[in-house]
Amino acid sequence: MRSFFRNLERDAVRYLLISGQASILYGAATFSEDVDLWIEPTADNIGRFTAALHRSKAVVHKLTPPLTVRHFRRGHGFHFRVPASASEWYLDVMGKPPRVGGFSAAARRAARFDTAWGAVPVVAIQDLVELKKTRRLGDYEVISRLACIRLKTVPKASRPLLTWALHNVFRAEDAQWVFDTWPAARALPVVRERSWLRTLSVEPLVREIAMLQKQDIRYWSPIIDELRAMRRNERLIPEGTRL
Amino acid sequence: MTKKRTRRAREPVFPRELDLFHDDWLALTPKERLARAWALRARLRDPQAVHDAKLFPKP
Repeated sequence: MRSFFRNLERDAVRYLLISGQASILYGAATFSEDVDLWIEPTADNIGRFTAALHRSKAVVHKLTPPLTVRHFRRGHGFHFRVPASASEWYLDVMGKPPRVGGFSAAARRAARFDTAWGAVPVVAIQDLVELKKTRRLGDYEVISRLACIRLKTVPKASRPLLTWALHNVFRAEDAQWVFDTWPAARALPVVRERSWLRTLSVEPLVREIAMLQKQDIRYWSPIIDELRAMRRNERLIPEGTRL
Repeated sequence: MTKKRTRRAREPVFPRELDLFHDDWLALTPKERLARAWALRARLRDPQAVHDAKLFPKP
């Protein structure tokens, strides 16, 4: 693992750690079985990333299109297995993750964490929250925790930050913690917009999450269709290929 | 005759104090959290099955 991240540094790959491992570093999750990276989708950077994969002896896992700028910018995912001394691990890569805008702005907002893998650039909490609005129900608990963690780590919770946090709490206990800690937050317009916050009732919360899940499914639908077409036309990289 | 129990007005409906494990988790450094999460992953019997089930869900 450490040598893989060293190879990214050595090849000057512009990347951000996202998703599960990022949530663990911030404290909002306790487990993730893979590593997800956001790679800057430029030809030069993809070339450097491919060199780092080669140096790390990574092989293509499943459903991976050719590593072209077009495929990265279209939002496709690229999946690899990376050998390690204990057992291989899974690496999932994107060039344009949903809901978070461009790489350069996200890189400017990113944090840097000291880890056993080295100093790793990690996507900012506010970007991670948007990335996590997926079809997986468990992600909404993580989002809710991230919102509270961001509130805990600032010296003073401003009105915009409280509004943002209340837009992103998905657990009644987190919403109540916000109201108990900052009673004035009950008067923010977001409490009118998200009806479940007024009563902390489950039904409207479930409807809201279901709507976000549907939006994520709609986002992925054309990308998955394109991936299926590539599979039919045998244009995916064969599983096990070393780059 | 039994007295009906009512919740006190100021008692939290969803006490975060019950979330003890999460507070302990937050008390660790990011480096420690990552190391522990990765140690947990090493105990998976079939990491590929877990990964693929999440990433490539059956329709």
